[in-house]
Amino acid sequence: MRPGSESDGLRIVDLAKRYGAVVAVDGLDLSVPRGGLIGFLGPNGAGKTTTMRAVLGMVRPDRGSITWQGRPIDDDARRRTGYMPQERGLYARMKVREQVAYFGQLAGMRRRVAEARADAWIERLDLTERAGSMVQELSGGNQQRVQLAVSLVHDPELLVLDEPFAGLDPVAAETMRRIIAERAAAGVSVLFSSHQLDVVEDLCDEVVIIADGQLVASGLITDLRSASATRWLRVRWTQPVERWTPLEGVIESFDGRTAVVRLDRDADVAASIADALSAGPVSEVALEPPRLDEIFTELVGSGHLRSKRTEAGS
Amino acid sequence: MIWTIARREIVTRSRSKAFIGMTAVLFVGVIAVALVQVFINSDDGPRQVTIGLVGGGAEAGETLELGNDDLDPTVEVVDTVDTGEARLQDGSIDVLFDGEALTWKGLPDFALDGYVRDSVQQAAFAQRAQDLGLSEADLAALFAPVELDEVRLDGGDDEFGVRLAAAGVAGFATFMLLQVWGSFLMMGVIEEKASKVVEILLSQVRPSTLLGGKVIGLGFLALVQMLIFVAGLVVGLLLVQDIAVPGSVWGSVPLSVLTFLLGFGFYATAYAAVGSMVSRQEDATSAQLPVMFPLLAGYFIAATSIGAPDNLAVTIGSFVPFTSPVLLPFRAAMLDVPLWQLAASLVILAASTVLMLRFAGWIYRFSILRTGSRVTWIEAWRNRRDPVL
Repeated sequence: MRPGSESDGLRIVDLAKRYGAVVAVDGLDLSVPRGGLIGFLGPNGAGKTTTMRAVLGMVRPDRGSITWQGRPIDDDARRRTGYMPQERGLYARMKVREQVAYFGQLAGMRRRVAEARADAWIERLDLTERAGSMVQELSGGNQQRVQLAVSLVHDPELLVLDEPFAGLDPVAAETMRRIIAERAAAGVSVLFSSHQLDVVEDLCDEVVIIADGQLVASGLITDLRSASATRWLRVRWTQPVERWTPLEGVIESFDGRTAVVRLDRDADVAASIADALSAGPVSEVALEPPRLDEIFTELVGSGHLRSKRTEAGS
Repeated sequence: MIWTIARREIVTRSRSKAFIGMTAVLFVGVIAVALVQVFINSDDGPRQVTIGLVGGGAEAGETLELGNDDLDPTVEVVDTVDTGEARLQDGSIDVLFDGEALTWKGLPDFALDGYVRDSVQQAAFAQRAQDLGLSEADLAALFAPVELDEVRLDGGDDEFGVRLAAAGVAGFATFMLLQVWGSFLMMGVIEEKASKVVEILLSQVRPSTLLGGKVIGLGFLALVQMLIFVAGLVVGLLLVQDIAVPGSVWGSVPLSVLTFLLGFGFYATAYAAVGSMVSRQEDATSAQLPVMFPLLAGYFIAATSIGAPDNLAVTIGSFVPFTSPVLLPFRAAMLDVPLWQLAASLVILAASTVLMLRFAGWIYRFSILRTGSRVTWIEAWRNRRDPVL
């Protein structure tokens, strides 16, 4: 992440939107710096899609501000935004190249330029042979590639991707992952939502977690980890141990030679290890931070979200 | 941006078989009608015919050679009925007259038949007058025509044909093209909504731009087809010779183009609004009824008023914006409508079109991103200030 001023990139402050009695987003703050790659996480119905649509001007917020480069986001800024909606959509009976170039033109590119950029992305995404085919003749995976090309053809400075990994085969997911990382490295601000937390963990340093339209946690994943109430103690003995009851924490798995114990943050780790040593000679001891999906479940999965909301990170 | 969208509509739609087929049929149909007009009005002088005359009919020979506006006969005397019949068979004469009977190869030629009978009658009159000792002058006095004045309560309706042609273009073509292109626009809106591509479109352009581009694009193609109709009508009117085409008929030609454009703005956006309310093509048929009925009503009133266009339904309908795109040019072609009424009706239609653009825009903006069950008019109206989802 490059250093930047307060106004750099995308900033959402105190965003709120309700539909009748249903609160979709409730006072959300979020920012994506230039070149930042932010994973946007939350259970279904948390307000991710509404937030993204608000960024793209498709939802009129009840309250709050959305700025790009320090100025309220406008049509101009939106034309420099690439969007991949959760529900994919393309013109079924339009040829691939024409379609990608068309969206480039809609973003304000001249026809020639849009066609050249379309060709470049089509080649990059291995679609050259299908450039003249109708979208409806393509396989699901290839349609996803076209969808990605559509969101990238106009060289956007901001990418808003709603579940970009949903429904991708491993090869396509790898391509997607590489392109997202590459765009961010090129200075593009990327906000993407995903339920595939392993991908998020692998791809980005920073996440924003929301639930019920409110911020639950945001910041560097490493900070969220250290703020987490959980860590794992893994012990492996050289010989099978008959029984072992840990001094502290809850035993998660035990197969005679290996035990995994869930410890609270303020547990006495040294005492637990000493206790394990007393059960027999130990070949391996590891203290592991929680994985992102565990942090996520911990933060939003237990039902009483409001009391658990924490501010972590930078 | 709006032109990029309009251009896509024009390019994709004009490539479709439906459009090419429809335009080709229109074009050929209009050319055919114009050619028929040319044929009917062609005037290349009297027709050459040959009359075979046998013995007994000889006294009529001189009279038979006189000819008239339509026929330029040559009389050839043949020796016997048999030779005459042989010449009928080989086609070198058109009819054989022997003083008693007219012999034809097949079906009689009605014009020639009448001509020969009249000529024989004339010759007979002249012969009998001579027998009675009457002079040429007596004969002329005897057959002097009685001139009768013609009074028509409808004030002379020779123009009915041209009025009907103009009213047909105005009424039928406008109705058909508004209906067809309105449906095309609706289908296009549903296609974008059902395929979800509209969400990407709306991330780049405003709903009004998207809708405006679609209306302009399809409106252009609809106008092309309307102009084919109008061109056919103008050519037809120019070829009409016997009748002075009334000024109001000429006036109805540009009027029908103007009302078509305004009517297109009015109806096409209404169709688009309906399209944005449904999520599947299957729901379109029932959803479009509220828009289709008033348009159909205008056409129905016109169709049933051809015989007597000066009725209250046509008059009122030519002012109501739902029916005036069809009925105003229809009425202007059929009757001489006062200028102020034309102007008033056009102003009402133009103002209503502006209102419809706004109204349909509200409905569209609210409905286009709503998925699931069909959006109701009430729901869309209540939320008009709060666009999209």
